Amino acid sequence: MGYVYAAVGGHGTVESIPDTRQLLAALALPSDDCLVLDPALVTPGIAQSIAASIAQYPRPVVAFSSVSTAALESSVILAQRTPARFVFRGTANERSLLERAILLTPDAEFCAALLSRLDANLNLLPAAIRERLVAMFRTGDGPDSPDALSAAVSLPRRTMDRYIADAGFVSTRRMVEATHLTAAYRAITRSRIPFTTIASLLGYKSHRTMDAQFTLLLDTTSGKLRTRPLRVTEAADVLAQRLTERKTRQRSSVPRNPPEDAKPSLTLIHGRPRPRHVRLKASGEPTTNP
Amino acid sequence: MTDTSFLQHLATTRSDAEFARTAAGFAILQIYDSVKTNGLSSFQRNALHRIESDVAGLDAAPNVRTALEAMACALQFWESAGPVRVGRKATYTSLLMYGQALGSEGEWAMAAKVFALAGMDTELDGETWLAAESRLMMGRAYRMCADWEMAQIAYRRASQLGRESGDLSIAFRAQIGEANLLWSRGNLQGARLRLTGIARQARRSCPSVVPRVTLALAGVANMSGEYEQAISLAFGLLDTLDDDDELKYQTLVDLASFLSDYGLPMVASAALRVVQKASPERHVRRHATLNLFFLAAHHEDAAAFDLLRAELAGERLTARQQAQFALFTAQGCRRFGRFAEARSAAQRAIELASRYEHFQLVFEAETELSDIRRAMENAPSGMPQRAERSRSNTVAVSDDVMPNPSATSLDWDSVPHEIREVAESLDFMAARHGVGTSAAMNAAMSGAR
Repeated sequence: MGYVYAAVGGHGTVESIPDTRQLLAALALPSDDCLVLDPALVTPGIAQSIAASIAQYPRPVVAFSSVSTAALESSVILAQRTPARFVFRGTANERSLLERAILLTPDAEFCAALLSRLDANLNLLPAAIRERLVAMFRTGDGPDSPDALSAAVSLPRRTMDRYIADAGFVSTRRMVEATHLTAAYRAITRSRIPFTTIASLLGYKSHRTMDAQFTLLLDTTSGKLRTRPLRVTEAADVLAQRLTERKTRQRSSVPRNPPEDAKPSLTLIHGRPRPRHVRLKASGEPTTNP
Repeated sequence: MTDTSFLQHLATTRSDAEFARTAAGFAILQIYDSVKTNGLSSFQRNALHRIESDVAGLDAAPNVRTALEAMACALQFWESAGPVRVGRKATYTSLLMYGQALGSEGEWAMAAKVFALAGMDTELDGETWLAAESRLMMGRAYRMCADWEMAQIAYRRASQLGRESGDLSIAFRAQIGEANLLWSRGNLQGARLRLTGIARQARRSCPSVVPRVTLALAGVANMSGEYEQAISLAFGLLDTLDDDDELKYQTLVDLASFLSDYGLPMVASAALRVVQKASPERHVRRHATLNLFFLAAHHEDAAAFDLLRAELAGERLTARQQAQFALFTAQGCRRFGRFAEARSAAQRAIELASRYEHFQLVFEAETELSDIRRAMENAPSGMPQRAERSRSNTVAVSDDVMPNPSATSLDWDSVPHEIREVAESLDFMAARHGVGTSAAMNAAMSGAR
């Protein structure tokens, strides 16, 4: 519990539920509160009941536990049937991971609205990429960069980029950025967590960098989103359009742009002329020729 | 797993218990490799069950046993739960736990290999946060092995992956690790500049990491001979660390080292007693006790020395700590004129340190043995003193036992007001934890009042 209190800090309140009977009773009512539970303390049967309640009244779930057979048996059920995000105890920086998991939980309604709008495009993807992306949007967890995503789905980066482009998405990078935005959406619209904290939790250098992403993907800044929240459907519409707008451009007469994160590595290898004043040392470090 | 560090360790083990726990770790890593490549079959499942039952009967430190049990359990869920991959996350976490457990037992070479394996696999699997964490731990493990090159490579990668995964605290901690490498290699000025820059950035974008930078800056100040600044920086941190036990006790151990270097070993003892009494981690408490024993051997009376000696004799110590325990026993016994006992302890220290290839300790124990022989030839009171006050030359003070005593303690009257306040606060803290300060410290402080 101490870890949870520390992770929440001054950004919210923590209510402790002493037994599973009371937990199931609490879950039978609609609420947006984040549920943090230790899967080792619930049986697989209780985990099934929790999953059923969350399917009926969606809410964010964080599973925080040490590694044990009991914990993993329940965790598998929660992972398959809820948007739970998992933090296993035993690493040196688990506190920062737990903090991110608790403070950056996706908004279930926003995610559902967004995924329904992207459904047609997502269905064009191979199952491995589709399932992975859907899990990333639902849990707010997963690969943090296009390279990590390609590693997670065991595909070469270029192959994955091609699949993403063929499914009508702008780029893999934009998809990953969108998962960050959906993870932060709830913290921005329904809490008073400082923007600098949210930016830091997302790994942005500053609030301004985060706002640049929000402007790109939602046409608004985090500050405006907090003071004048968009309706969930409206936000989902804008984001879905930003993720797929490349398709629209193709139809227009504007020349087709390459995906924004297409790697220039082949261009370099195949002989973009090297400026004359640069030569390569034996160590491979470029030096300026005087 | 093609690495040979486990095999080398197995080849040099001198006890059945040590062989059994290393073999259990090696076997589990082999199964991990096989499950990762071929998936989980009934053969591997059976092997994991057998290892689980074997691990329960192992003569190993609790954290090693817990980590091995966690590995055996998590591997059985390797392919479970679809895209969320709970089993893989649990397995990688257990792998990191095993590396940390090996590190806390002083097996840094094996720990480094485990972290390297975890780092490579998590990165290949797209688990960026776990990869960043693995590389950070790998950097520390290689630093403890004094392999600066590998440590630097690991820290650089940890910093990149930390940023990529959005966890700036890992990125900054990796940068602090890199700066610590600079001062470990003697570049104090470079380390100070680097840490100052990191502190500036951390204040802006990741304030939670600032205390770690401050502690590292205190370490540099201490290495530079600016003891008072080091003590003030470290002591100033303590008030801010109420909810971070790990860093609080690390700060107290480092503060004790700074105080000892400054010439206030009795005040250092007070800080260590708090750690010994209150730290939740067993290996941290054991480490503090060994440090206390070292200080008692050089500065306290025979009763305090014998009490700590008896306490440590019943502790489960790592190979390096056993050698250190024997060396400090030799030093204390020589100081109290028990030369025969001192000689046999020094010989044991040499034997242990040579067996486990801790060459710095071999050198120190040989020097001690020759000091003992000289003292035996001369007079019972002829204890040679080291001429110069020497500083800790450890990789990071909280990771090791203070290796060199100050020749003399400072006169309490010459201690500046700010440092006296630190001493009084530590005295109060020790009293609050129910660990009375030593008679020597009480006498010094009351004399000054």
